[in-house]
Amino acid sequence: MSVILWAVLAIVAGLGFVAVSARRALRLPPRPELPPGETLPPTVLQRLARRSLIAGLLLIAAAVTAVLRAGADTFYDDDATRLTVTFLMLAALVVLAGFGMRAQGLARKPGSPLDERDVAILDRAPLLEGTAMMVTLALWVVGLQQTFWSDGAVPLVWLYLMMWSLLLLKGLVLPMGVLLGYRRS
Amino acid sequence: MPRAEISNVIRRLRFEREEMTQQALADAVGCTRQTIVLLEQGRYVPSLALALRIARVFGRPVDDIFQLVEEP
Repeated sequence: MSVILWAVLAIVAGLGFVAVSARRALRLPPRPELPPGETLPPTVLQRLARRSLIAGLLLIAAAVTAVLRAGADTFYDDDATRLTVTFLMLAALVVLAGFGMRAQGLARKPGSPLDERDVAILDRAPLLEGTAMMVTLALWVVGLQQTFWSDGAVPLVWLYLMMWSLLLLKGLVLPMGVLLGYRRS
Repeated sequence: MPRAEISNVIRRLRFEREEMTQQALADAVGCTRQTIVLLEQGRYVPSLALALRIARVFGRPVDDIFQLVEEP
């Protein structure tokens, strides 16, 4: 099968995944009813997840922009760009992994600000982590295999990017799962 | 096994207690106000420990506050 056909297949699979997720999102229960003009304050865990997700996504967006600006094939040859990208991705990983550690720490702390619902949401949040990583890994492998099949070898920089994408995806799933959990329960 | 839902009378009991606020109840039982809002709307089933703490605040037995509604 040609590269174009594989690319189409990957895009269709990606869009299918997004469509299924959106469909599930549309079936979320309505927000709790409150008296007019009253808002429900977010919980400590919700605020922490939101802040971590925004900070993580901003750092990832900056890293992706730096990679695209220098060229995905060549950014690794320029020391300054490579260090910048590595620093941004490490910072994103620290922010996202830090959320998980902080949340687990809060859940175990005596007199914790998290209640039983918060802890249940936190426990359920990583349920889709494995599936999301498998889908991403599969798309990476198909794309790399088809692009570099004739060369017989994949440039190391792509494996480096694949590793970072999987690590960061693992970090993103937890705060996303927490925020979705508050909408679902 | 038939499907079961848990209904409760927390909102009524709060109003009977000099319009106790949701936040005051949340503080008294050690949970967030979000949890109380969802409990009152029947969208969250509490653990036995939380149900017992709520019952203690209102000075009622648990089954006065929470009822099992079984669907055939």
